[in-house]
Amino acid sequence: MRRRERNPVGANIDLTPVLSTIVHIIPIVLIAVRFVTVVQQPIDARPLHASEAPSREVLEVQEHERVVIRILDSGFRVRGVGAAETQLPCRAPCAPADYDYLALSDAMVSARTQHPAETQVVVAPDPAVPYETLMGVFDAVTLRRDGKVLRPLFAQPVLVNGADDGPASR
Amino acid sequence: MESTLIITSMVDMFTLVLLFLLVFYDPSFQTDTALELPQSAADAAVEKGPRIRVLPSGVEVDGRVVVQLESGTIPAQTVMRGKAFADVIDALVPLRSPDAPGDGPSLVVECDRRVSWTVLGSVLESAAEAGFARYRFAAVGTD
Repeated sequence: MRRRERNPVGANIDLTPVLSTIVHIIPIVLIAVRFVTVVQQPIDARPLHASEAPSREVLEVQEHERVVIRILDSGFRVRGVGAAETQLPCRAPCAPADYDYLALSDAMVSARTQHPAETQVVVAPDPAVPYETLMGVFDAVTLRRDGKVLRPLFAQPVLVNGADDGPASR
Repeated sequence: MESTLIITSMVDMFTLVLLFLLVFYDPSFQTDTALELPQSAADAAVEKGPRIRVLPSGVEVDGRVVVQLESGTIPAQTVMRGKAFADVIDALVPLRSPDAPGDGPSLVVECDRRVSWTVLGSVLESAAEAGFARYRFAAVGTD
């Protein structure tokens, strides 16, 4: 009876399919991957807490010392910049991208000059305002970017309820 | 004369690159199409800590849906305490760390860009009632 031959030790293994698979998988993963950086915007919303919220009377007294931004479905209204309320209307149809964040940033630069010691700015959104618009406002009020030059504005945006019925309204 | 091409190093390198990509590939932003974060120019990396996720379909705490929403609106049968969600308060209280450093415990808020202030305001009211003093709004960096 003839003995069956075994493969000798050190037989060549054909790595071509393995290499081919790996070479194809790497570009697929590289193309499919999205390098997303999740950042954070620190917000002080303590006045939302009923027990800590400043009363309407207190806010009325402090009104001239505060910068208040009301976010309406028609645009921004800013107090604390100049004597009168500044209106910054949005373009129709007033989607989040249609708001004039650049003009708001300009207003915040002026407000920063007028209120150098103030770190807070009150943000009062209308109930229907989406979160995307809020984030655009936070960007505009916290930091001004002129090219590579960064200018800090108001470090503590404070959210309060109601653009229409809150203390910021009249 | 037969020449032999030694490809052991190349195979080794390709395998390491592939493993690296697969390990660090985070598919959460690919598959979680329900959450659309807004963009922000902020550059601070998001902190670790208790998180709340606000979607048009509901509010999630610790991966569990505690409040159902109807296309971004609050259903009439939702149990409220003032303007706050009762179920969100109950879900957040155990997550609060009383000995948190700084200005008190902070909460990372992952909110969909389409969610209105009506819902987000109620979520923040709930967090305040649960004892969270500061909020970190998550967004996708633009830089």
